[in-house]
Amino acid sequence: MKMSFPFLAALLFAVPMTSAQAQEDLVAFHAKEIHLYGGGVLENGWLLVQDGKVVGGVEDEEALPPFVEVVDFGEKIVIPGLIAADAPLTGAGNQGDHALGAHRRAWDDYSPFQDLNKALERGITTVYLSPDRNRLVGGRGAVVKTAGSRRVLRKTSDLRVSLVSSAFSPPTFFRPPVPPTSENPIRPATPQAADSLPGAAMALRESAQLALSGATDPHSMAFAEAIRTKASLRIVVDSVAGIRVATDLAKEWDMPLILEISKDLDSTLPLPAAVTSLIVQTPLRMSFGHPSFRGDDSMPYLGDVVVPGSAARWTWLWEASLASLRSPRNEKSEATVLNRITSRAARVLGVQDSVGTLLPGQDADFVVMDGALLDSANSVHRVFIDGQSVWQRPERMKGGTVLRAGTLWTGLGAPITGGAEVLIQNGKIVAAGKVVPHPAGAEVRDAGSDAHMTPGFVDAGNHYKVGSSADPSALLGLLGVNARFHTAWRTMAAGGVTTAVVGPSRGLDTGAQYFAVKTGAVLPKDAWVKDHHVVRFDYGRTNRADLAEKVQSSLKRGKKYAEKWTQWRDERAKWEKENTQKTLDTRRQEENGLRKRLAQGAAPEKNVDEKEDVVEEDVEEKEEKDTDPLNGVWEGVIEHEMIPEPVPLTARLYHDGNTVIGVFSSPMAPPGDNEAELEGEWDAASKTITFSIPTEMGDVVIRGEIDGPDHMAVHVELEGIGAVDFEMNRTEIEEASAAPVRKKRKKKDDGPAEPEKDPRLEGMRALLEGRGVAVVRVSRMDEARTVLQNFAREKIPVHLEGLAPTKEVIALLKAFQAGVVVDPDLIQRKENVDYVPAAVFHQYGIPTAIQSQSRETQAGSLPEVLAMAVRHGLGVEVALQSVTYGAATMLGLSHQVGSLTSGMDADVVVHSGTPFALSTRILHVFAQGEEVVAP
Amino acid sequence: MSAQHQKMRSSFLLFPVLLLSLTGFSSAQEGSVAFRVGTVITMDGSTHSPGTVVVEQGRITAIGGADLEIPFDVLLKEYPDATLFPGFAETHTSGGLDRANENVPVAPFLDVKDSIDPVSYFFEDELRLGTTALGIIPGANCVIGGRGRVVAPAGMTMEAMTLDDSMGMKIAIGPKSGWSRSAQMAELREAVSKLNRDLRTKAQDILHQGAVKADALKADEAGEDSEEDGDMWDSSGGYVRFGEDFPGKDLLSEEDVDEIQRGLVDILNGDERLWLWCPTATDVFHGKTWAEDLGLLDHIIFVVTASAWKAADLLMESGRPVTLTGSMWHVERDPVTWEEVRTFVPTVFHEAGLAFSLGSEKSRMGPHRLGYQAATCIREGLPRAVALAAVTTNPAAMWGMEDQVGALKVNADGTFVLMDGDPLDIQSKVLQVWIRGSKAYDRNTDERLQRLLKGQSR
Repeated sequence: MKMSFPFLAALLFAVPMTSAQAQEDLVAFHAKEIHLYGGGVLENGWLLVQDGKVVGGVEDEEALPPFVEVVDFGEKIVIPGLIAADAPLTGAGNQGDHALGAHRRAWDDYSPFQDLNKALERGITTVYLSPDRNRLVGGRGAVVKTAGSRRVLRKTSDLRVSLVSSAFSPPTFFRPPVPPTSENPIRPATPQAADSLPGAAMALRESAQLALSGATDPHSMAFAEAIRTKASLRIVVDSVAGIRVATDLAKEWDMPLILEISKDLDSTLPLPAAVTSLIVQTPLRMSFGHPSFRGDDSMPYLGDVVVPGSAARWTWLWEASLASLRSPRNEKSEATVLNRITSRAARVLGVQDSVGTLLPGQDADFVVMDGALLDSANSVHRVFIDGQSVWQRPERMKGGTVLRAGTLWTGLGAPITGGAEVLIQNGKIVAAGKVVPHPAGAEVRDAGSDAHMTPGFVDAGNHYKVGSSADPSALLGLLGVNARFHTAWRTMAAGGVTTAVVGPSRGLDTGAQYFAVKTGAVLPKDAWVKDHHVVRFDYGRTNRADLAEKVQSSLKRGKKYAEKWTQWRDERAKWEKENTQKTLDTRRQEENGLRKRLAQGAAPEKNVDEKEDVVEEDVEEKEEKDTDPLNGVWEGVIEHEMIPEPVPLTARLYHDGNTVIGVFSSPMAPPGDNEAELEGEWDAASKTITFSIPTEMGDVVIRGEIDGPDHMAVHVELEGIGAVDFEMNRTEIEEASAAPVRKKRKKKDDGPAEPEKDPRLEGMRALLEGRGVAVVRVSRMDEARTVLQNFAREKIPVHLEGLAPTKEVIALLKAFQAGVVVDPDLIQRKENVDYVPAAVFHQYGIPTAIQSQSRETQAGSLPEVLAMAVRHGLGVEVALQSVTYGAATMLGLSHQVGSLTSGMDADVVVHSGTPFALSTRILHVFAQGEEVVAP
Repeated sequence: MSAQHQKMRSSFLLFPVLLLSLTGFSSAQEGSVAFRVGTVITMDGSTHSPGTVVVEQGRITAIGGADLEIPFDVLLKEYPDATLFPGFAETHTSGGLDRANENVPVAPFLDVKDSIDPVSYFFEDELRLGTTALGIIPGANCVIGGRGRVVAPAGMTMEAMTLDDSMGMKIAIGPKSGWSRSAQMAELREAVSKLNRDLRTKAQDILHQGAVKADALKADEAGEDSEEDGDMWDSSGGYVRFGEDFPGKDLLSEEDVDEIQRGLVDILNGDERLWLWCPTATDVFHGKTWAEDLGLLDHIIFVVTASAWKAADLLMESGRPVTLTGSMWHVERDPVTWEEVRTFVPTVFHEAGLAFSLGSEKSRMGPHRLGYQAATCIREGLPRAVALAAVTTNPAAMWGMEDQVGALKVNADGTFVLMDGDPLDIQSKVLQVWIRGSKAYDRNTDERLQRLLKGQSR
């Protein structure tokens, strides 16, 4: 709704274009809609505030004065601060005795230190303080702001008179004379006015007459002053007769009348014309405690100003105003909703010169809200009073994010058109559909009715930072200290690829492990999909004849390896059961022994365990007496949250004087390349060894400190990036001889130890234990058949890559229910015609997944590449399936990614139009609920 | 037989005479004694270890080190391991009164002298705790409570106990129980406006009477009433000094003003110290405004509770002293983060530069001793000097008696406490309490305590 031209012009001219000094504290606030008053909206404009007052508004960015500070609220809306025409902050309680107390002031009850956060939470910036509610003449009200430095608007505003039944039985007045004398005895308590409406009217008239004729008691003096200065007369009524009395009194005393109706009166009776200001209590039904009635009188009088009824909280002002739209006689307009609780309320309270609108000259009290004005669940995001931010929605009150667009592709089934929403909380999708719940405090991001939302994309093959190495330990480099934070991940994520299956580009014949990495993750714990692997095999260079054998032998090895592990697991379980039982028994024995000994008064014996250690070490101590603290073979395990699997490390250290020679090896390294010899320093005094390895990222410093016999604490640090701490134990002691003697050290019985991990067979084991999916690259039909047959026998889900969509291939794939991971060149040429193999596969019902095989950030161009493929015949839905749900299902990731349904990771891509159209661009990408900002 | 009786009777009579003479020799003059002790804490800037204090006729005449000369006729008592210090001062309490408040909300005519009970256990307990001066004043359940006075906790009559009768008036801004603050302020304003009305009426009456008398004199009829009528109230005019002038104002005398309202006139004239009960920060806000409007801010002492720490800058602005009653911590939940926030209020006051004093919490064990309250402040980081001053010299300053109590100076009252350790040590015991040169308490003869420690002797 645009403003009318005169207003616009007035606003623009109100902008001070004078000296640069005057603009020093000028701030411009920008929002999608700035409601200056109900009916006057500045769309996509800037509100100019200086020194706590509004000075103007502009529509064009060019019209902004130079050097002005801009605060941008994005897609939120700004409304003037809400004004509560009544609040129970004051005026309650058992107060004094006087029924007629015009000298009472609500200002005396004003508490500047009171916590008004609950009012600010609802956008209320100005509040009326009521004097005594339960007395005929309560006193003078006050108007204050809820926060800020200039809080008092009016110390005495109106004179409040109550003609409701609660005022009709005041307590008797009893002030005994002190001391009582015969001339001035103690008299019984005098009853006070009034018991009924006519009585009240009479009492008021009498009191007014007395006051105006010069009575000197405090009430009369204050009453006379109020009448003479024509203060507003605020009368609260709950009956039609009360309305009449109120108007008569106001006319007699010639005071402006503010009528407050506190009950649902029958609105068919017309209001007298004299009533110029009307405050209506709007019933907000929160529970079933009140009788219900239906029909037109569900909303009685339409007042100028609304306050929530007594059953609701006084801070639900916005809700009361929205509820007042229920009445069929009410025009449903944004203007009324807003005006009732802003500009009109200000006028009724007499503070219209300062608050109520955002026109130039008014105080800069405004509220920033999420969601459209009449949205059913919009919420206050921030409150400004006098241009200063006084309240901001705290973290613990944030309800999540609601994403809105014209069309929603959930990944399953047909898209939802005509407007759809997704609710994200804590990085997960809570709901997706045409309408989702809007929790209080949720941020609403509306991309427009042309936008489309799809799940984040899955790249089925990515080699970033791993390169061609088939070395699984190279994954250390991938997910090691610095790569995680590389901006390339963000580039990929900004292109929509929120999940990338990463691994070495050369598959092994025993299976190279790939990890599904979440590219937009910030915390290490979110960095990859846990406990699931995609294992890639490459039989591309094998002889035709040997292929079957090779496949079978590798499967056999894998099975044996896996069996070792299953066996170990069973043994371990059995041992643990026995052990717990044994330890329980021994402990019970010990306790009984101890008890007996204590009863006999003897000291408790040394721990049995210690005894055992002593025995064991005796054997070795003899050797250690002359033994060097350092020489020997040390073993340790490096574990770090950044590394997917713990890495065992073996070091053979030998020192000669101050130099140490260390041979480091790890069973996880590929054979033939698994030993590294380093030279470092040995400090006998502090018993530390130091190695320094120069790398391209800086020096890696390894420092080990021997803090106990056969125990070393190692600290590996890469300057500026991070450090890893782990421990090493010496397994063999050596003298000068360099020949390692593998001696089994008698250890405390710790149960059956884990079998040694063979990284080359780990992938197989994952597959055989059902924790993974295999992808095999083949080049010929017979290869494909062999692989599929053998893997199917072991019940391993397998998909193929490297085949063209011929009839035989399709038939084979269908028979084994396998899918295809297509090569990155989506568009191929056959018989001089461009075609997309993926489309052909899909035509025949073979699921496909798309991989980028990128070494750097190429995956980030996935949407553009797919757009070209779509142009050449790959359907939009097919394309979407092969990068979202279809791919996730194929690769076994559908429990976490790939679709926009409840419980999935909140990976959403917002497109400006139909996804994968050449003219569409990506507007936003959300990974785990957080928006990805392209580096 | 009778001769024997006679003999017994005479020996009987001798005995008390002997006793009397003995006691007579032990203190040649009433209220004179000298103490030489291990440490003397004067609260006047100096500490003597060892130290000597000489009291003659109820006043301190000399303080010094071990070599101070003592007049020959003053008995010297030596306690080489003890500490001597002026004794704690309870700034503002309604203990020892018959009841804390009356029902009448506006009662400027009340005075605590009518309801202090000298034999109340309260005073006995205070002696045991080492408190040597108490500011007794009506409680907070009032609008104008009445006058208070500073007493020592020893004496058989109220007059003997009184140290100063001009402590001041109690005015409560924090509402009476069941009232709201607007009713409280309205009541206060009503009382003042009623007073103004009554004064103007009375002045009119006097003028009228004066005119009548003048006429009568003219008609040669002598008037018979004399100016002096023998009662204690002043009959000369000019009693009312506050507010705007009105006809006959300068003719009003103390006698003309109704008894009930005299106290209020004294308050508004600025003759009374005002102890303003402002428990919360909001009350400080309104109380300060009220006092400023009447021009009485210079006579105010704010009596606050811990929640008033939020108004520390308002208190600083007013420049008036503050006395903290009740708990010294304020606990509340931050409404935004929902975390519990604990504020130690004396630290806030100290950092704001306020002169404050501490009160004891009689309902709790530990804080019922002023020494404990001061020690808690030190634990929370306040300097020892500040914490000790808050329970000794600051209260004395608030009462306007800094030269008389609170510190050991030459010509101050010979009032002090002998303890077997540092006054702020929780394990120190009060050995003796001397008030104006006479022993008021001795731990060895404290029958109740001895019975508790040693069991009943009979």
